[in-house]
Amino acid sequence: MNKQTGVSSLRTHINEAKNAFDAILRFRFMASLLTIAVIGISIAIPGFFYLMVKNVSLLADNLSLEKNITVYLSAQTSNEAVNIFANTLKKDPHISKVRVILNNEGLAQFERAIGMETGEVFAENENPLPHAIIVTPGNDAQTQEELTKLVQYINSNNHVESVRLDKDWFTKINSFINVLSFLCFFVGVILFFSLLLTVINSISNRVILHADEIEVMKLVGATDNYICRTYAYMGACFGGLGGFWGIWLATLALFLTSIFFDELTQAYGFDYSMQGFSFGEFIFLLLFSTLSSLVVAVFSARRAIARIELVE
Amino acid sequence: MIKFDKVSKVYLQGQSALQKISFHVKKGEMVYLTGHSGAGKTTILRIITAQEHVSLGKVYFNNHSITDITKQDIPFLRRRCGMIFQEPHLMMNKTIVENVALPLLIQGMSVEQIVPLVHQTLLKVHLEGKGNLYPINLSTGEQQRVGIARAIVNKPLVLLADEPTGNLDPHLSAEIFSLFTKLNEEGMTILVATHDISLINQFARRTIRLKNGNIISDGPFNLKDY
Ligand SMILES: Nc1ncnc2c1ncn2[C@@H]1O[C@H](COP(=O)(O)OP(=O)(O)OP(=O)(O)O)[C@@H](O)[C@H]1O
Ligand SMILES: [Mg+2]
Repeated sequence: MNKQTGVSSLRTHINEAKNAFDAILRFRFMASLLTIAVIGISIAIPGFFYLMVKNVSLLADNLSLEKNITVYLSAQTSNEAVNIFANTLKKDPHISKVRVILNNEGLAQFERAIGMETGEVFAENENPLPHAIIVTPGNDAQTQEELTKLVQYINSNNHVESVRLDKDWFTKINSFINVLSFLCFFVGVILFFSLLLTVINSISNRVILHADEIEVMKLVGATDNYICRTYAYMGACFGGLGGFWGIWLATLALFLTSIFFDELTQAYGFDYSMQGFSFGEFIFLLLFSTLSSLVVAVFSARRAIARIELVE
Repeated sequence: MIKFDKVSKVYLQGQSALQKISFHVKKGEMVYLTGHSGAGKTTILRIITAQEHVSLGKVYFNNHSITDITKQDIPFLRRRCGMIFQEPHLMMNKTIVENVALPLLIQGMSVEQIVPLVHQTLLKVHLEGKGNLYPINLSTGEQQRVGIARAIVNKPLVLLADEPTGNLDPHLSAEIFSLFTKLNEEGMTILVATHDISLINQFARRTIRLKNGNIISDGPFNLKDY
């Protein structure tokens, strides 16, 4: 038989891919559009959740710079002892800033806050408030583990009564991220099946519509593999176009969200702008959509093609 | 080239189509299969192209047994048989050239190799100059000749025709048969199923007569038998 050269076979493949692309545009255009739209949505919704997870996580990382540790010292501690302790903390490489609030300052603040003198209530030297030191961890103490170590270290000092690491927001954001991640995964799995079913349906329909042609091709000696190729390329085209559309949709949704998000972050005084898909993520999504559509197209085309035989 | 050895065919529904028939078509022969409707002509052709399995007996094609051919080998068997039907079974959305090129394309031939072959073949069936038209633009007789061009373009070992003139007027039918005899003179082995006795008479060749799945005569055509 005729030995084909690598170049001519590559050209045949390119040609067939082009024909498949033409076919989905020319033939049953609305059906093609619908298939691409469904694939797009199957990619867009989990893609959007992914972007939210990514942005909220990034934002949380940025926020952690603002995280403080409040150290309460026992009321009996002398002002000098407080300052000495504050100075040792200042020298610690894991700590970037230390602010001391002596209990009389604390009381003054308290009085200002409630708008009355407390002199009549508390006798001299009977200030009920503890001394406080507000510690801002340095850049090398940002993870949960490092912060816990720092807290333990501070706690080991005799004067320290209690240490409070303000991590409520951290837990809150983390659980929010967990919910988003779960949604992303859950919706992703469900919509992945909808993507597969759409491609299966669309490709099998086309095989059935082309049954006459396929019969002829079989009779002149086309292998199932050869016939399948057109549909494989069709599947890849669906997946590629659908993926592209989905990525665009998710990015659009992110842009709309960012309008509200920016307002929110600015209200809290953060400077953060939302991130879309990175180039790597873009390529990954496109490949994922294209390849999974290709694989499932091959699978459904092979099944449908095998069933066709000429009956005269 | 084609050898049937005590072949029986019973369809799944229980109809017996062939009963222990044996014949041998040699290389370069042109043979007619005749017989009443339902005699088993189409069944014989479908067995040769592995569209049907035999129930009993052996079939040889080019000295290879095709009785238990594997699914993967079927396309390669079919590439060596040109097939013509009552309907030309053309692809309506492809041009004549593309239709004729199909058997070459599926074998992975390059366009440079295909174009001259298709050209020569269209010349042979007198369709030169119609290559860029679509089947819808051709007459029935012309469409049938496109079907013939597609069947012979890859120079098959045998040409199998199942009532190729069923839809054509006597003049066009004679034209197709004279084309067959010309191809046969060039060395192609041809098996034609037909019940057009006047055409067989006009282009007389060896004739296998079937009746209810049995061969009732096999030899030179004799008009007195009918
Ligand atoms: N797919 C099938 N399933 C069941 N029985 C079949 C099938 N095809 C053919 N038969 C039966 O086999 C017998 C032979 O049929 P075949 O098609 O070979 O006849 P034929 O000689 O080609 O007839 P015609 O001249 O009408 O085309 C007939 O009795 C027919 O009913
Ligand atoms: Mg028949």
